[in-house]
Amino acid sequence: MLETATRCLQAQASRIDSLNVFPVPDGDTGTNMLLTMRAALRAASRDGSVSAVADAAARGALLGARGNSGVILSQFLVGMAQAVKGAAGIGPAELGRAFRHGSALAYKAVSQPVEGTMLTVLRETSEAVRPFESEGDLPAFLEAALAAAGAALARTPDLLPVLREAGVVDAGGQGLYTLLEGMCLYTRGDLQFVQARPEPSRPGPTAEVAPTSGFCVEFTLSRRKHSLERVTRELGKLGTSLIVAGVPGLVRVHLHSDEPDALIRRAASLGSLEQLQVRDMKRQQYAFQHRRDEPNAVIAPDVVAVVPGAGLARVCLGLGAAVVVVGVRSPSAEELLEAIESAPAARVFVLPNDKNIILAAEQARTLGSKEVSVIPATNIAQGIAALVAFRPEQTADANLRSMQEAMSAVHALEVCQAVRTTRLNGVAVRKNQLAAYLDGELVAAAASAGKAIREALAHLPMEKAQNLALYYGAGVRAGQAARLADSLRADYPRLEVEAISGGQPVQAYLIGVE
Amino acid sequence: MRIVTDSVADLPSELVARLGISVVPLIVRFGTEEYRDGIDLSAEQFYAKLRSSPHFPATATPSPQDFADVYDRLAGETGEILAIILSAAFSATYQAAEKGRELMRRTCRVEVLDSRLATMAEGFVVMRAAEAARDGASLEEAREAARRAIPRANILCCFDTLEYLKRGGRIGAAQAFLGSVLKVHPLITLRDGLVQPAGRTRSRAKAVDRLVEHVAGFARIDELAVENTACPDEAEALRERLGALHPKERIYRSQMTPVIGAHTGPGLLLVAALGDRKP
Repeated sequence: MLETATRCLQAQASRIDSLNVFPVPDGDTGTNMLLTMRAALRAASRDGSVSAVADAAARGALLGARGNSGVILSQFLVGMAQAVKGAAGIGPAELGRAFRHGSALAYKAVSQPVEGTMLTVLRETSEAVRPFESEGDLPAFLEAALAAAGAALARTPDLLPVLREAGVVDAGGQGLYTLLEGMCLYTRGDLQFVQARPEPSRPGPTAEVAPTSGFCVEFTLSRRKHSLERVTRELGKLGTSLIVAGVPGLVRVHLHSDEPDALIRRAASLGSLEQLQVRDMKRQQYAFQHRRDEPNAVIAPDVVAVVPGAGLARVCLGLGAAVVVVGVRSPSAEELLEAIESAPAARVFVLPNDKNIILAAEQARTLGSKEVSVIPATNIAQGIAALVAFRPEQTADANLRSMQEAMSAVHALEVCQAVRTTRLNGVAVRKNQLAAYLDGELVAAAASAGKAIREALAHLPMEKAQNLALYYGAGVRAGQAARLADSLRADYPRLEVEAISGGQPVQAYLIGVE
Repeated sequence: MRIVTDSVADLPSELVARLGISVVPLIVRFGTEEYRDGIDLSAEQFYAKLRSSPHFPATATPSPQDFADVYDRLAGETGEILAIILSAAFSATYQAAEKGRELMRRTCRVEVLDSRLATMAEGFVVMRAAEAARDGASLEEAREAARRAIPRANILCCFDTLEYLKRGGRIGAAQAFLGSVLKVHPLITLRDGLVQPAGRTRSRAKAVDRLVEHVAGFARIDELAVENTACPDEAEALRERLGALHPKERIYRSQMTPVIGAHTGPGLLLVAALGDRKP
């Protein structure tokens, strides 16, 4: 049943995207709900009792939840799973209870619930189906739910002025309606109809929308150090549109912020962050409007970049990356695929920025339906050089050429603390010394980072170098990095030196020399 | 038949005199002080003021009456006027030039053409129309000469800072450059009458290399200019390098008009060309 519902949603996703004006008009509601449902399905595809399947689906949805609407949907599924716990089968009575419990949980997940959104559609639907619960007829129950959802959906513009101005119904509500439609079709056995349904060609009327600023940050928080209430309160200070959804031990967070690096630093102190992604909402909105206004125009490729720290995420977003995956550990192919799918364009470039991630990126390339190119940057310096050369107004092919060319013109220097005493490449390193790797090769080791960097730079033709960017790690203080930058300026007067917070946990310094 | 344009076309005064072009100045303001572009305030004075004034400069379009006065003056000498104006997509000067027709006291045929350009790229279009007029062309023929030149004229420039462009609100799609944590040197061109990004580099030297590569990409160059805002030495060095691609003495050199400088800030280096790109 969930599968049919998801398929129905897939057919409608782009139309639902086109309705999206609230809370942020970035045109991704349908896609977000679809990605969330797919994650639920993947997790639930094994056989088992209703209760076990619902539980697995809810967990999967939570882990894979994307966007505002996705997190609300996942919370609804969690509520449903809790309501059918221990039930042998599923009928109107169980579903009715599940609807109401799911609706209540979804309300709780949103810090400031707004009426006229999918929350309203959820609540009104779950109240309207009450009389049909005792009759035991599942198709009739679902038809009633669909009718109630349709009526609630039609009223959303009366409740939310921004929808009325835009002349649309709520996109998340429409998504829910479509899911219910799929469930009805399943009970009627009308599967063919779902598959054959054509994609609507032209989105409905949408008003000009106010420009959006800021970034959308999503992550999973595990091993949290405080109560859920405390975590919610802390996160509430850091951004807007906060949604916290969770099951015991696992919390999915979605919020908007203008300062994603500060937000991530603070959030990391609340527990362990995983599946961290940052999206540029302005870019998303631009792509959405462009698609709407000029449906036949070629849309530039989007870049998905993988980086080891929050500061580096900010650098990449500032250079035009659409989605940044921030990972301490290497992201899985599936995580990369989700990042690729959440990017607005159909053509996507992936910058792995680590030789150990290239393989996962290649795998992700073959898994999805989008046309993906992996630009094999083996370190962050190469990745950033490629992004500087990225021109959104150019064709994908021209970009591929110039990005790869730019990548080859940069040298990468990585400085980290040696974990053991060893001898490599003719260089002796003692444990806890700072080891400097130039383009992946160990070239120097010293007691201080400054000394190791200077020795390593001596291997490069520095008289030709124009820029040096110093991305300092989470363990380095800004003052320390600034002093190091000053001393490098003194050593190389013609060099433009910048010290930028990278936030990476492992390397004290990641350096690019051009 | 006479040609009218605005001060943003950056035409050298010698050329303006020789081809009998009438230039309507835009307005530059520092706080409450107003200056007519290129008349009350020279480029040198402007850039000195840019550094010393506590105010960020603002600009204003000429009034419709300013255009009407020029049209009326010319109406005594000719029965046909063609006004070629900077891109209507980022300035209301075009509307003022249009409105000016209604305020005229004398009768004369006036047509206004949106060049969709600015700086010497606009200037080259004006030059072609003025040459046609000098050779006895009718308004239709001069307009046709300008129309043919428009798609062949363009600019590429590199900025030292985007602060001024951002304040002036003329940044359009180039706003993709904003918010970069890393220092980048953006390159900008005009497309469809609008400011559009054309790449970026990490160093000024590489950005200047791009300007040279851009000029090298022409199969045929009819006109070439190097312009700058308060970086004349770099402009001269660039002209030397471009001398390998086009006779140096034929490369126009100009300090950019204050009205443009107010929107770009100091450190803008620009090449304008009229020609055909290599396929």
